[in-house]
Amino acid sequence: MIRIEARSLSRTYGQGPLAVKALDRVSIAVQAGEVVGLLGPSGSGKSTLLTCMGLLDVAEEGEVRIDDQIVAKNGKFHGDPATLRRQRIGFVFQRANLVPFLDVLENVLLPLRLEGSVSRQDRSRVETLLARLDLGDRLRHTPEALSGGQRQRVALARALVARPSVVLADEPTAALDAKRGREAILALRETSREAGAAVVVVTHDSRILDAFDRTIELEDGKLLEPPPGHTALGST
Amino acid sequence: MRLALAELRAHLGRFLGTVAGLVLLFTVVLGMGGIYRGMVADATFLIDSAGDALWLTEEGRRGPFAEASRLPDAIVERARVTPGVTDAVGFRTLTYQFRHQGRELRVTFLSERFPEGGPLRLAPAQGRGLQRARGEIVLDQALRIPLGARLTFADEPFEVVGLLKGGVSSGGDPIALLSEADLERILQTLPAADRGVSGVTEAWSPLAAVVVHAATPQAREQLARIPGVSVWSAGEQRTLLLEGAIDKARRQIGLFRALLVLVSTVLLSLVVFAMTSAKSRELALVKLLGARHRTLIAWVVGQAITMTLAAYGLAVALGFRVFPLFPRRVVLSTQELWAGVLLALLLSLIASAAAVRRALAIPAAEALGG
Ligand SMILES: Nc1ncnc2c1ncn2[C@@H]1O[C@H](COP(=O)(O)OP(=O)(O)O)[C@@H](O)[C@H]1O
Ligand SMILES: [Mg+2]
Repeated sequence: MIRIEARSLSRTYGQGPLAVKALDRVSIAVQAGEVVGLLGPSGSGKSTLLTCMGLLDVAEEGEVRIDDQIVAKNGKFHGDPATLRRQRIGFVFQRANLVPFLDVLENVLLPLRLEGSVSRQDRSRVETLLARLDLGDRLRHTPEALSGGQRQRVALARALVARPSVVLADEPTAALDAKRGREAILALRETSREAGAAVVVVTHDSRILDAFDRTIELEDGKLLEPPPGHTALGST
Repeated sequence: MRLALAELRAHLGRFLGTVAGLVLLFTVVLGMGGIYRGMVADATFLIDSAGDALWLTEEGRRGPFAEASRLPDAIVERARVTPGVTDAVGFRTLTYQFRHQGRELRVTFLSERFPEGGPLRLAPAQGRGLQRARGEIVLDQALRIPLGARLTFADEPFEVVGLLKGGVSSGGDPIALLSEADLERILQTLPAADRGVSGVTEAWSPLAAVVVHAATPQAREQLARIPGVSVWSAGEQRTLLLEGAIDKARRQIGLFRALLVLVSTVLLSLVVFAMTSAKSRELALVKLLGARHRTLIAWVVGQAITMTLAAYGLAVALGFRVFPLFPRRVVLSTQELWAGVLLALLLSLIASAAAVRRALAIPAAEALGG
């Protein structure tokens, strides 16, 4: 089942001779449980693609569908993008981006609180998730008291807590050492797959390529054909 | 609101500092209002104590409080026999200065009819009212002279038989009740007293006004026909008094309070704006996570309201403890205290306007940037 699909997205910044075509008719589709790496040199349009798929920006041409529903098309959102983000999309950033004055549990519950109220089941589900991420004894700690790897796992739990259809990650391992980075990406892979979410990870980090089911590469806003000799873990 | 409170708890120092500043400002605002109210209460004490009475004064004079007034003694009898009148008592006062146990004191003597009382209806808080025509006096507690004390005014000995609470003349002096005959005697011996430490500070008007209680509305018309008098209701007397000097004080105090409220608003808006700027990263994050506008507004405005209401509550509590220690009477009105809550809420909203605009303008995508 396709969770998120971009169809022929084009996004141009600026006008006239200074215009930059950040995305040029880019199409991708990601299945439930699939983890896709998005590669490409700096300035190739990776962040732009991620913000368009994450409904933080809208491409003037092409459409974005989530769970087969058109959510953006030809420069216009269909529906309220904030609501769609709240309900359908989880985000993971380069830095964990936790709220410093909320404890671990409240940081993870934040998307649920933004949506509405938090039930006892929600809370125990979160506790289980955090225990799986080796954070079971850190629920009442503030982010300050955690290591970088722990923080990134909290951010991961936050991205998954509202059971999103899609998880979008921008350089999630860039601030971690090799070991922590690997652990984080594997945790992301495992937990999102269980949740049935489609995952797109922007990365420069060649050490984690084997964690992706497949990779796609952008250059100058265009999608490249899969490189020869490309190997992936496969989906089983 | 959860975010607002969690953040305040995390920045407790800034929160408490702001609240402390606002407490001081609000306490001064409340205190100034209370002082004005106390001024009005003091000034109108005598008028209010006479109850729903009619006041006869010298014709064309807005006396006896806003302006001097002088009537012939015969007017008291003339008023008493007017149809519809149930009671008429002369209103005679004398402001007097004397020395007691090394303290220089000012008092307003007021002649009191005894034992039935009048023209005012004052019941002593301690002791009793006048019972004899000579040598008894009822003083206000503010003079700090105890019950049973013996005093001498203008060579006349007096015993303090009763104490009033909150009895002040419109000029703010404590009042003393004595018999008309004693007041007359003090007046007679004044030249002798003048040579000593005591002295008259105001021209003696034999009869400043007549306080009349009437049973019928027609009585007022009848009284107005007495030659040489003007008739005022208690309400008109109050207005006459408050229109003068007190109204000016009210406007000055009002202006000053408005200024302080403005200062509070500016202080609060600076703090709220600074707090909003300091958390733009977190604001961008919750926007990216899909926060509704009302969540963001509640976060910013909630903090402003929390700080203002906490400060206001503390200011009221502080006021109740501190104002009684003031040399002037400070009167807090319940109605005004509640109006203050509304004003505090309004102030929070105004003070957070700029911060809210900023919070809503922060782009969600900012949270993506490394
Ligand atoms: N807000 C913007 N305004 C103008 N140009 C932009 C903006 N964002 C990105 N660009 C340009 O679009 C191109 C793609 O940028 P980006 O998507 O950030 O690439 P990447 O994430 O792969 O480094 C770059 O040339 C960049 O300069
Ligand atoms: Mg980028």
